[in-house]
Amino acid sequence: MIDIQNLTMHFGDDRVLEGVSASIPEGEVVSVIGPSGAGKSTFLRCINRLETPQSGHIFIGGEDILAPGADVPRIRRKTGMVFQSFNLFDHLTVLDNLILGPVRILNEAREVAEARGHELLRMVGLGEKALSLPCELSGGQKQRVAIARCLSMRPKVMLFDEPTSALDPTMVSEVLAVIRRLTREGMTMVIVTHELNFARDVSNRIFYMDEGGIYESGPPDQIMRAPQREKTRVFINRLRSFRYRIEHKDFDVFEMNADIETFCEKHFFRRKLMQHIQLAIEESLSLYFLRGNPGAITLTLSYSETEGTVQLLFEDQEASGDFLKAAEAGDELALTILKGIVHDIVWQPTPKGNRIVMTLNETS
Amino acid sequence: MDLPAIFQNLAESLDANVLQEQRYLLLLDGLKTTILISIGAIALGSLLGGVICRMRMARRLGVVVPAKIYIGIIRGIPLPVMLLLAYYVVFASVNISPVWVAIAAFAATFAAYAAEIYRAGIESIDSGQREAGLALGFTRVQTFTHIIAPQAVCRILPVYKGEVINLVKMTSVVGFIAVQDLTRTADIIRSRTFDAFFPLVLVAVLYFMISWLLLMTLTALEKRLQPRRSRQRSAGHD
Ligand SMILES: Nc1ncnc2c1ncn2[C@@H]1O[C@H](COP(=O)(O)OP(=O)(O)OP(=O)(O)O)[C@@H](O)[C@H]1O
Ligand SMILES: [Mg+2]
Repeated sequence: MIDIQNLTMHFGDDRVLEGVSASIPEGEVVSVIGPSGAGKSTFLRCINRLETPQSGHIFIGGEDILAPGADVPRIRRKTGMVFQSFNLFDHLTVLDNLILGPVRILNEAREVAEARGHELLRMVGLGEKALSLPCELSGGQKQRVAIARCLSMRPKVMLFDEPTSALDPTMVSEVLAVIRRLTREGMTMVIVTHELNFARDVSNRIFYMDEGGIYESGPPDQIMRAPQREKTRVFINRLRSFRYRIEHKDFDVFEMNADIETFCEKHFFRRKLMQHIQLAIEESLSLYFLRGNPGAITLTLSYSETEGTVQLLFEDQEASGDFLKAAEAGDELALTILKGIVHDIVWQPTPKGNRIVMTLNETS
Repeated sequence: MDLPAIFQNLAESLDANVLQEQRYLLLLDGLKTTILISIGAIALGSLLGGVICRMRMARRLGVVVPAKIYIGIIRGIPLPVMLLLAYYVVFASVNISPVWVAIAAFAATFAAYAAEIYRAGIESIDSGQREAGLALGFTRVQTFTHIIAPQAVCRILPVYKGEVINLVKMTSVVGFIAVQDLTRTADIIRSRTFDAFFPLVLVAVLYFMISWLLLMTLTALEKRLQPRRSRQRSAGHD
């Protein structure tokens, strides 16, 4: 369906894509992941030629959209693109957003286009919103309309550029559900996303982009659980973990807790597990700051899906050793609470300070 | 109180300044000229402004620069000077009515301001709208006519209205090139009747009414173009 050959795109000195090649057969769902600035959006925008690369070929259903003299608008119609910022036509009602293309480009009769528009709106769960204006919708609703608008042009391929990144966490799942539904219908799709769980569920293949191209690609399980190359591994681990550096005893505990909640929601932790995590962190920090005037401590929260465990890692640079040990001597209530929640605590000295690893079970 | 006396005075003024010697015909002519110049300059200037805006927003420098120069020059010259230049220099050797010279001069001026107003309106539309249109398969031109322009118009009109009113008022300087517009007519009547108050106030009121009517028309247009939630449609429910 999509055949990309030797795609090269530079922005000035910025070599964003260097000779990228990839082939996506009909019905395949590819998720594109990678660090910010790796060229994921650029890659996607080259496919429908919103960006014109310096060289290369992109065949969509056999036609090269980058060929000189190509009928770009016509070839573009084979693809639909969903943007991070929705980009609904603000001056038109939801229904008019859906029929503008079919009526003006495909020359469909208005009644036909409207009937199909209503049908598509029902499909994305917004049958009642046909006559609303975009500004009257929530973010999740806007994105679902944007998907329906693409579908109204009957594309062969759907391109998604971080479709849920601009949404409140509560609205992410309604949009993902609609995309999931499309995969079941056999749509060919390329999805740039930061939602690793979603990417694993829906895609046949994952492209990890870095160093000016597709650095590693493979089936989701391989990329997520056993990446072959170093940068992929680092990236996956980082996404699976959360780091927070605490400089001072009066740090912003609300900010930290909010970040932890976001992390837990992203990995679909149960509420109880999240509360345990927050409690364990709170108690550990209170013990840590009990001792005089210690320096900064770094907290890393990471999730291992295969083992169903959550790891809490505290790293400091104090010479005075295990702060939990010190607390034990003072018979601290905090320590008792901590031991009730966590499954396992290990202290390891490091060259500069201490490492304390706590393990929580997902099902605790 | 001498209320009846005031009315008496008014009636006398009206009689002397408007009715005697059929001066209302003179006023009517002046009014027609002012309206003709205003409407003509607005219509032509709006169109020319579109062309200049298109040039100003082009990608090729060879097209952009002339547009920039045009806008820069026009904005730097006082309108009466423009008018005199048009009359005594540009159209000096051409035998056309000074009314047309005035229309041309005002249209040329209006175009420069209109071009910048259009441009500001178009550039205020988020680039995502354009990209969404292109991604759906619209051509560049279709994207502009169906997606960008309808949204830009709503942002352009409020500023455009102000410029229109400005133009109507600025036409009062056409007396410089011997065109008998409303202002000039008032002045002629004043010199005959030696009454400054009545003809000038009358003309002020007339200017106000022209502006007001244009404003109302454009505001009605603006209201019509606002996006509306529900439009009655037969196919709306099934
Ligand atoms: N129009 C542009 N002009 C100049 N540089 C650009 C342009 N668009 C993108 N870039 C550069 O290209 C690089 C890749 O950008 P791109 O948006 O594709 O990254 P990304 O992987 O989508 O990142 P993110 O996850 O932040 O969206 C970046 O370094 C960016 O600065
Ligand atoms: Mg991006």
